[in-house]
Amino acid sequence: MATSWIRDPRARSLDELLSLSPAADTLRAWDVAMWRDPATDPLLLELCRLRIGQMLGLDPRTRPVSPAAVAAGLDDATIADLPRWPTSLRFGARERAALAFAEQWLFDPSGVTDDDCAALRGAIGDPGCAAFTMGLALSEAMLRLELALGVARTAGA
Amino acid sequence: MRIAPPPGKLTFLEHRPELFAAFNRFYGTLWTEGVLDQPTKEVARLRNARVTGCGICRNLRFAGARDGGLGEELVAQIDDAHASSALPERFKTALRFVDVLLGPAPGDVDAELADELQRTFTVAELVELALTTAIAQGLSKAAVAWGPAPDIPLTIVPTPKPGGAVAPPADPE
Repeated sequence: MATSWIRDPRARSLDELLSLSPAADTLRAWDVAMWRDPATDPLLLELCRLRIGQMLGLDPRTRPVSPAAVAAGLDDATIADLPRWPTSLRFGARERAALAFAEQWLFDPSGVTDDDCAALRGAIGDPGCAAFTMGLALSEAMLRLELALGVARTAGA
Repeated sequence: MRIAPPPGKLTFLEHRPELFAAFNRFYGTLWTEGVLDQPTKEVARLRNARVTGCGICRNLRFAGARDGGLGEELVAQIDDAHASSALPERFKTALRFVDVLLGPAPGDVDAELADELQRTFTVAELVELALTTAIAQGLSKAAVAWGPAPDIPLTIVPTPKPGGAVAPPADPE
C-alpha cells in the first residue's frame, strides 16, 4: 500500500479520498460510462493509460488493468512490450496511432500534429476520437491524482 | 480544429453525447456542489490554462469565482512568479501544489509543501483542488491537441452546473 503524505486514515486509496467530494458519484458514473461506451476501444484506452502511467513513473506491469481490456486481448506480454511500441510487432497501426497521440498529449499537447490527428481519426473514427479523448483526459487525471496525493495503486493493492 | 463537431453542436466531444453529458454532470457537480470554494478552484483552473497553453481556457472566467472575489487584479498574478506575488497565501499554497500536480513528476510533493497544504486546506478540499486541476488539464489538452485552441477575448460564463455544460465559445472551424 502506498503511504500518503496526507495525515488522515482515509488516505489509503484514491477511491476513499475521492469519496470526500460531493462530485464522487458523478465522477464514478462518468468513468463507468467511459469504459462501457460502444465507441470506446478498451484495449486502446488501457494501453494508453498504462503508457501514460509509465511515463509518469508507474510500472505498467504492476498496475491494475480494466477487465474490458483483458477481455479485448490485453495480455502481460503486450504490457511488457509497451516501451517498444513503435517497433514491436505486438502493436499495429491502430495502437501506434493511439499511443503516439497519447505520448504527445502527455507532455506537450501543442506538439500534436495534423498527421497525428488524421491517423487517429482514420483508425477509430470521430465518435471513437471523442470517447478516446475523454478517456485520455480522465485517465491522466486519475493517474496524476494518485501520484500527487500519494496513493498510487499497484495490482492487488 | 482538426475534428469538426456534429452539426449544430459546439464541440467534437458531442460525437459521444451520452459520455459528454456524463462528464458535464460530474463537472457541474464539482463546481457547484463541491466543498472547495470557487475562487480557489478557479485559481487552479487558470494556472492550468496558462501552463497547458489553452487560449480558450485562460480567457474564460467562471462567474461564481468572480462573484466570490477573484477579480482580474488577482488573476493577472497567476503567472510563473506567483510565489512572490501579492496573492493571498491560500492561493499561493494552492498554486505550489497545482504546479507539482501538472508537472512531469506529480508525486514530488515535498514535506514542507505537504505540511503547508494540510495547515491550509481540509482533506476534502485538498482532494477537490487536485481533482479540479487534473480534470481542467484534460479539458485544456483536448482543446490544444485537437486545436490549436485560439486566443479568445475575456469571456465570463456561468459556473458549470450539473444539468448544464461548460460554455466556451464554439470550436473554431
